[in-house]
Amino acid sequence: MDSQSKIPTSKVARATRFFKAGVKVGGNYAAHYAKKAFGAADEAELDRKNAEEIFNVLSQLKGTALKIAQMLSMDTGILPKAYAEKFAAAQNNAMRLSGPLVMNTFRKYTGKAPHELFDEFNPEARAAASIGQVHEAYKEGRRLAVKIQYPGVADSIYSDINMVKPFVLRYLKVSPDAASQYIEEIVERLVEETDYEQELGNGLKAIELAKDHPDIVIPKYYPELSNKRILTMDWLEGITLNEFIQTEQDQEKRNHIAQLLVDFFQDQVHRNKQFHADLHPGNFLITRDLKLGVLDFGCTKKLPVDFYNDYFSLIKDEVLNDREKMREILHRLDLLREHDTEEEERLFWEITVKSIEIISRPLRSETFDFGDEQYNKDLQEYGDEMSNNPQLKNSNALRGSKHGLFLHRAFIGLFGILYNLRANVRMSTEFAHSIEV
Amino acid sequence: MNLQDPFIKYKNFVLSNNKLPKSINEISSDISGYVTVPQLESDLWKTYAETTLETCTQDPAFGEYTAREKMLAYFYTFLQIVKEDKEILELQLKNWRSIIRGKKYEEFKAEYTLFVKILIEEGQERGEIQKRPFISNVYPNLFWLAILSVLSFWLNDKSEDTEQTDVAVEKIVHLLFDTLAPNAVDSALDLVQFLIKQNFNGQPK
Repeated sequence: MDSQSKIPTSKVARATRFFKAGVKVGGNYAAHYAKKAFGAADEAELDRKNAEEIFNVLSQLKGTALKIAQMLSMDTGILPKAYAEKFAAAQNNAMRLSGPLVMNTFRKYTGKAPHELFDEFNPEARAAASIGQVHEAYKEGRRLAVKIQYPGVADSIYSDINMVKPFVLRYLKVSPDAASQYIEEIVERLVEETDYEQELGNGLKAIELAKDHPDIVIPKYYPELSNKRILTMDWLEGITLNEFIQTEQDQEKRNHIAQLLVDFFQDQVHRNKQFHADLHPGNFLITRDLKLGVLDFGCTKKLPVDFYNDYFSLIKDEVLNDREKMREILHRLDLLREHDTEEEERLFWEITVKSIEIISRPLRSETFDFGDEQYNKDLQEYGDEMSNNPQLKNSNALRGSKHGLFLHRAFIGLFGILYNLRANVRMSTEFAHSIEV
Repeated sequence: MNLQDPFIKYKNFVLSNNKLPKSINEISSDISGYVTVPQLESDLWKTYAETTLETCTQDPAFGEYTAREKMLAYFYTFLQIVKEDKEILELQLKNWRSIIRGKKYEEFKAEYTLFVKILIEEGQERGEIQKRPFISNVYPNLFWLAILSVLSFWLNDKSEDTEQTDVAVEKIVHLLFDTLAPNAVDSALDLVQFLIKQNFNGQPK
């Protein structure tokens, strides 16, 4: 309860905190594309103390600010350990709903008290997330996880974003106009995340999709015990992916889990064209019989077909070898622009080609070893090169379709986990056969 | 006598006319038990306080709560109860001076204060609330201020399901209890007391 009373309340107070730490919140799409994608550069350069300071500031906030903090910490593993661990801790330190407020939320959205809905309901939260907390309950002998959202989160997204925006813009040195479509995209995802009914729908869809994968487990959802602020699902038993990464010694088992993760993600992106965009280790559990449990379908991204085709056609040789075709696609993806000077075109062309080569390298071989130090070194070097390129530090450098934002975020998450697992996996580019160019 | 009945007539009148009645006759010729509108309104408010406390104490969890949590639960319950009358209360509370001075709310205040005094006592026993010379007497006023703040916030809250009020309640209650909890002020008072005593005793100079 104390932690709650100390959350700085006014917008001014929260803004001041940002100012104090000079938080570098960012996601410059083109310029930081590689850098972010591979988690090198900035974050890696932060020493432990610096990471801690930023963490301390962000953890005193909540909601969107914490969410953004988590986005920054996506690159666990490639990031300094201190940072990643700190944010894992953030999950436990976030705001806590008081007992009466939990009760009030139930009464408000179901008209009933928890003990009327469940045979047993533990009023002490078992876990906290950035926008809600999880309680344990029992009904008809089943152990359930009941996620309850903090009140006012949906409302505060806009004011939080407006507060963070100036810092992001200043850090990226871009104009509000250039950034607006990306910020809109982020807001859209964050707002969606506050709607538990939508999350339930996403979860049900994922269950359907995972039917072909007996080793992927998604908890059963209970629509009759859920609404937009309360989400009830089966309690999944297992250790977190983080624990697994730290404790499992058997590389074969690690590869098995990594492969499940890859299959799950590829299936979502290529078959479903809507994917789990929050691939951080906290959202995965490993069951005793070595299955992969997937939690939290709050943040998903649906890819428009045109974008999907353009984006993934970039790994096809017939595109890479056809300059005209490629130019056309890069224009459609907003990576090249109509009024680009010759120099700009050359610059962004080079960056794109290099990005494609690096990102798609794991996809191009039969199996790929994410423990490969050469690959990680290449990523880091590439990231450094990008972040030190003065030409990429202006508004005009902020480009690329907004639909790619969360796709990259997901790739970052996936690659980060695979690196942490030192995994050897098959990624395959088979999906590309069906893309017409 | 069915006490609820005059209330329903009163509420129906306000909702269909979108104004407060000036006299009982304006509502209906056969409202039993009431001569003036303020009397009726006063009883309506008293019922809010009574129902709130009743509902709270019926919840088995309520007894287990700390004083701070009891206050939270009280406010959430209170808001649930007045929720359906929001439009009426908006009209009644247009003029805030009336609630600070008006006789209409005295009985409500008395009921609420009764609860608050027990709560404060309990809080003091549990160490959640610090007894302070002189200042302790005004604690109930702070609690009165708190419920007025909640009411005023709620009346202006346009958020979906008045979710922002839920947040405000938490913050108001935490501020209130953090103020009343033993803190730096007490150490300061202690020091002042000590210094005064030293002075009176004339030692050591």
